[in-house]
Amino acid sequence: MNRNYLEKDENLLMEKLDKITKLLSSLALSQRYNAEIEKLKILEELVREQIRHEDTHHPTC
Amino acid sequence: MKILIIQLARFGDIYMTWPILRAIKRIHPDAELHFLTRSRFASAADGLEVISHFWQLNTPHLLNPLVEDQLEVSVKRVTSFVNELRSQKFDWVINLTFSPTSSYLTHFIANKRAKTSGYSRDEEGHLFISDPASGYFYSQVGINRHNRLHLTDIFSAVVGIDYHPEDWRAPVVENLNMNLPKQYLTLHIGASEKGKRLNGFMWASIIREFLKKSKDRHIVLVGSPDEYPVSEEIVSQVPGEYIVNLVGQTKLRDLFMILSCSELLVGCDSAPIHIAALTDTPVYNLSFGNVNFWETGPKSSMSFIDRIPTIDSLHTAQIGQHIYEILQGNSPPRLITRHDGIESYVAPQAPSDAFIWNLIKALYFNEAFPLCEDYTFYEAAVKIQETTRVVLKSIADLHASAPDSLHKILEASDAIFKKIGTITPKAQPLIGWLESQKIMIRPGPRSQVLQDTLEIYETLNKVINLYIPEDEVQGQGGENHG
Repeated sequence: MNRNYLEKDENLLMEKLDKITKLLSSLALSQRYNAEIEKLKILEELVREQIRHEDTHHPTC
Repeated sequence: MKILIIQLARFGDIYMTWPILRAIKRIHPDAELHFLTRSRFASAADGLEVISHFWQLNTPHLLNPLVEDQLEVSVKRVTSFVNELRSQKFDWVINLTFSPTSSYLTHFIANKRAKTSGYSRDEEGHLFISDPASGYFYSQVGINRHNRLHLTDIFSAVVGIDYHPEDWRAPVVENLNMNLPKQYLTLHIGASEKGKRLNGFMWASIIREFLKKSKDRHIVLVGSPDEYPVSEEIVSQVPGEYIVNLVGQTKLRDLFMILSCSELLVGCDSAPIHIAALTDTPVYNLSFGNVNFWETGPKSSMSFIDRIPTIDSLHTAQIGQHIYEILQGNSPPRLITRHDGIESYVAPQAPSDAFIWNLIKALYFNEAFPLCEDYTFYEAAVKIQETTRVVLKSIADLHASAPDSLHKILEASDAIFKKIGTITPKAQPLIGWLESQKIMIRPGPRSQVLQDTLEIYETLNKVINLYIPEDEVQGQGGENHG
C-alpha cells in the first residue's frame, strides 16, 4: 500500500479522521493534555495533510 | 551538542534548508546535526555533508494501518517513531516547517531542557511560538498576505544565524560522464504542480524562437520520468542536434553537476531553481499564478523572474527572446531581478502594495511608518483605536474584579480586529502583528501574562495614533471612548 492508495481513499481517510477527532474530544473531556493525546494529535494532523495534500507550510495552525 | 532540524515540506524547501544547516554546522562545528524530512522527499538531502543522522517520516507506513481500520497499530507506529526521536535527548530542536503536524512533533520530541525554535506547542497543546521570526511567519506569510522576505532568510532569522557565502555551495559530485556539450543551457520542463507546467508544444516554441537568434547553443532537457512524453514532444519539434534529452535519466543530485556547468537554467517554480542557488547558476524563472516569488523565487546571484498570470497568457516568442538577451549579458526590462537587501528582488509595485510592505517593515524592522492618505485605512484606524481603548480600559478595570468578563471582551475584540483586517487589506499587517504578538506571550503567572498583554495593546495604540490626526487623538480618549 502506498501514498497513491491513500490518495484514492480520501473518503475513507475522512471517516478515520472523524474517528480520531471524536476520540480526541472525549479524551480532552476526561484528562488534561498529555503525551498520549499529543501522539493522537500528530496522527490526526498527518491524516489532515494527506486529505488536503498539504504537506507544505501553512502559517496559521 | 545534539541538534535536530525538522523540514517536512517538499523538495524545494529541503534545498532551501541546506544553507542554514551549513550555517549551524559552521557556528557549532562539534554539534551532531540530525535532519528529519518526509521519506517521499528524502532524496533532496542526498549530498548534504553536514548531517550526522538522517531521519525520515514515512507517512504511508504510519497511516496504512488506519486505512485498514487498525487505529491502534497506527498509534503504535507513531509512538515508536516519536519515542525514538525523543530518546535522542536533543539539546535544540529547530522546526523549519510551519505546520500543525511539525508543531506537535517538535513539542513531543523536545524534552523539557531542550531549546526549541519554530512552531511548537505549549503544555496545554496550544500553538507556541518562541521566536519573532516564526511569529512573523504566522502573521505575515501565506496566501493573501504581503510578505516579501525569502523563505531562506526567514529560516536564518528563526535559527538566529546569518549566512556566509560558503553556506551556499553545491556538494562535491562525481563526474557523470553524460557527454554534455561544452556550452549549454538547461531547461527543466517540469514543475511541482500541474498549473505551473508548460506543455511540449510551448517549450518547443520557446526553443525554436531562441534558436532563431542563437544557433550555436545546445539545450539540455531535465525532468522526472513522468515528464518524458513532454520531452519527446519537444524533441520531435526541434532540430535534434541542439537538444540533449536527459529527462527521466537523472537523479536530483545529478542536477548539481549539470547545473554547475550550465550557462543558464530556465524553469518553472520547482526544486531545480533552488539547486541552482547552491551552484550559483543564473536562473530565468517562469513564475505562474499565485506563487509568491518573494518567498520562494530563485536565489542565484543572477536571477530573473517572469511573472505570468496564467499558462494561457504565455508568449513563447518573448520568452525565447528573453533567454537570448540574458545569455548576451542583458537584463530584459520587464523581468524581476535579484537584489541583496531585506527583499531578495526588485519588482515594479502598485502604490497600495508599497504601503502595506512599508507598514510591515515599520512594524518588524524598525523602519519609519509610511504615510497613508487612503480614507478607508483612516476609517479602519479609527475602529482599531476605539477597540484598543476598550481593551485597555477593560484590562485596567476588570482584571482583578471580573476576569471572566475581561476574557470575553478580549475574545470579542479579537473578532472585531479580524473583521477590520478582512474589510481593509491595508490594515491586515497590523492585525496580523497583534495576533502574532499575543501568541508569543509565554505561559506564566497570570499577572505577567496580563502585563505582557497590556504592553501589546499599548504599542498598538501608539502605532494607530500615528494614523489619526493629533487633534482627534487628543479630543478622544478618557471616559467617552474608554
